[in-house]
Amino acid sequence: MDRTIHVHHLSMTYRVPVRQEGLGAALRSLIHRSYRELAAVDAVSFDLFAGEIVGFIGPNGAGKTTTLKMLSGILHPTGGDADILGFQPWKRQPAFLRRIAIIRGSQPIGGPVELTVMDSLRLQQLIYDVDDRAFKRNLGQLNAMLDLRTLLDRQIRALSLGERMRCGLALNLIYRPEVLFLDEPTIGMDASVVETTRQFIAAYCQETAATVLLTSHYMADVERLCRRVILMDKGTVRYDGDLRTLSERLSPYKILRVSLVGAKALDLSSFGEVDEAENGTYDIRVGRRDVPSVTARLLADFPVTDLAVLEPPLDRVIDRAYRTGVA
Amino acid sequence: MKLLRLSCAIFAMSLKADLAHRSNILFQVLLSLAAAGSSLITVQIIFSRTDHLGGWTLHEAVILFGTFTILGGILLTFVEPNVLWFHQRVIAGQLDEVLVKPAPSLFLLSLGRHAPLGLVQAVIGAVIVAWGISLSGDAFPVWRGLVWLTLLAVAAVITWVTRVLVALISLWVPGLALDVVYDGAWQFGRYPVTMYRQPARFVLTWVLPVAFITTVPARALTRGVSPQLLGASLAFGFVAIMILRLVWMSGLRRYTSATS
Ligand SMILES: Nc1ncnc2c1ncn2[C@@H]1O[C@H](COP(=O)(O)OP(=O)(O)OP(=O)(O)O)[C@@H](O)[C@H]1O
Ligand SMILES: [Mg+2]
Repeated sequence: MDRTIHVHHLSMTYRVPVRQEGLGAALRSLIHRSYRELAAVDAVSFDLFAGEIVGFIGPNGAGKTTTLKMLSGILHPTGGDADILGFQPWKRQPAFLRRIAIIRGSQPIGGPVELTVMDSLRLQQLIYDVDDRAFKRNLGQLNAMLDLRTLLDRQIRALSLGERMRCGLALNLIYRPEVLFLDEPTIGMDASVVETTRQFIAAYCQETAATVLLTSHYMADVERLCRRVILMDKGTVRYDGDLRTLSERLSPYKILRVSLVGAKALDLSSFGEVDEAENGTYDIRVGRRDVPSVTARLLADFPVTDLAVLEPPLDRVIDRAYRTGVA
Repeated sequence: MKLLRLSCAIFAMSLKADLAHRSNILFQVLLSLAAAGSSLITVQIIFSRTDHLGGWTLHEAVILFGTFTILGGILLTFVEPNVLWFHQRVIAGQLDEVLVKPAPSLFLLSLGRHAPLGLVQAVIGAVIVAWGISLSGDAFPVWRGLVWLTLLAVAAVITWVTRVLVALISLWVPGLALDVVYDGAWQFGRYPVTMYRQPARFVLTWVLPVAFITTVPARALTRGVSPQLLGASLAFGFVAIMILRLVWMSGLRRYTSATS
């Protein structure tokens, strides 16, 4: 497979002015400003192969957005190197910029807001040198997947958040970028729009074999779209690999879901911590290694009608890992 | 070439958006007429007491004011929509969008948005210039008109450069908006710089180059211009573009986007 993205010891240290309390300190800082160095990204390395969709996760302030900004050429790193499709991103060569897109849920659309969506698409066509045939074909496909028909003649200024995101996707995909950086693409959307957006991203990637680095705080996004994740915390990569393996590593237990005959409440706490119990169905947390023995004892001692072994919900696992720190 | 096509497209699209609101057009026409009218009355009043202003006669002063009005229209149409709230766009990290596009960032940033209705003012300016010419009763050779147009183009470039430079200051001093200062300096362009004494005249020629923006083109139309001054103007315009590019490139190095 081809390596599309190669990141080597990439670092970004922001210089942030320190503001002291009090007017006197503020006046003094006019003459002598003091700065604090903030290592937002610290020697991060990873590779992405062509066609991969990789989840880029981590708690707030981990350095995800900063990394995506460097990889899309917005920021010049303070250290390290990156190679995407044979280009160094922050040189911002047009040939590179034509082949990538960064789409951010926090500001999906840039550019003049008084233009209509269709005019903005036409402008993108000119900026990205898309020929008419490709433009028509791509627009047709995006239209089918994002249902843009009713939006095309609306002004960007007047779009709702969800509509804005749909148009933002269309504007950035009309030139068929091969590498996508998606920064929280589903932020602030209602449940059904989130689902269509996920479907759309999956469909687009299947269609175009784009390479994607996707940031999201919704584990459902990541579970749905990515097999591999890169987990960042405090500016460094803490995990890079299979999503399943990560959840296994982070949670040393599984969930045993047992259904028993009769709705009588039973005390099963001797088998493990009982998470939920209703109508005779119990979720018991059991250490991974103990699953076979506990299952055997349950089956022997209780009138079990159904039994399933489940992975704990990913968002809970991740949430715990974020809070307690990632090993 | 690509930039020209892009400009035309942006202009046409913005015009379409502007035309959607008929009241906007009416308002813009009235506003521009009122502004031009009141200034012309001021010129008349000044010339009712004297027949020379810094060595300029009435019809020359009218032509100067027309030129000033045309450039104001160009500023309003092509530059202002881009630099308005520039310091806030810097703070909000909105330069990002410009940086990821495969077209010159300085172009997208400073000429990527148009407000076509501003051209109403430019048209009024052209009418004023024509009126000034008719006032003089002289015959104006065609070549003078051509030189005037050339110098007008140089003036437009200098206007663009200086206005964008003022906006770019916020890359070094975040939150500092000198828009009002620029507007103030801009008003010096109404009158010939010869009206001012040294060192004000020097400042208005080389530091705040309002001389190149209005005095020089207007003088070229009324009395002709020496090849040296024409050359100096062209050179000044060229140097201005180079300076803007340098400043933009070094300002960009300071830009660290915003947090989200
Ligand atoms: N432009 C900036 N100037 C100064 N500090 C910044 C800037 N952008 C980000 N930071 C700091 O760098 C760190 C990493 O920020 P970043 O936005 O990359 O995190 P993130 O992983 O995207 O977080 P989130 O999940 O909240 O979006 C944070 O501590 C943030 O405060
Ligand atoms: Mg972020």
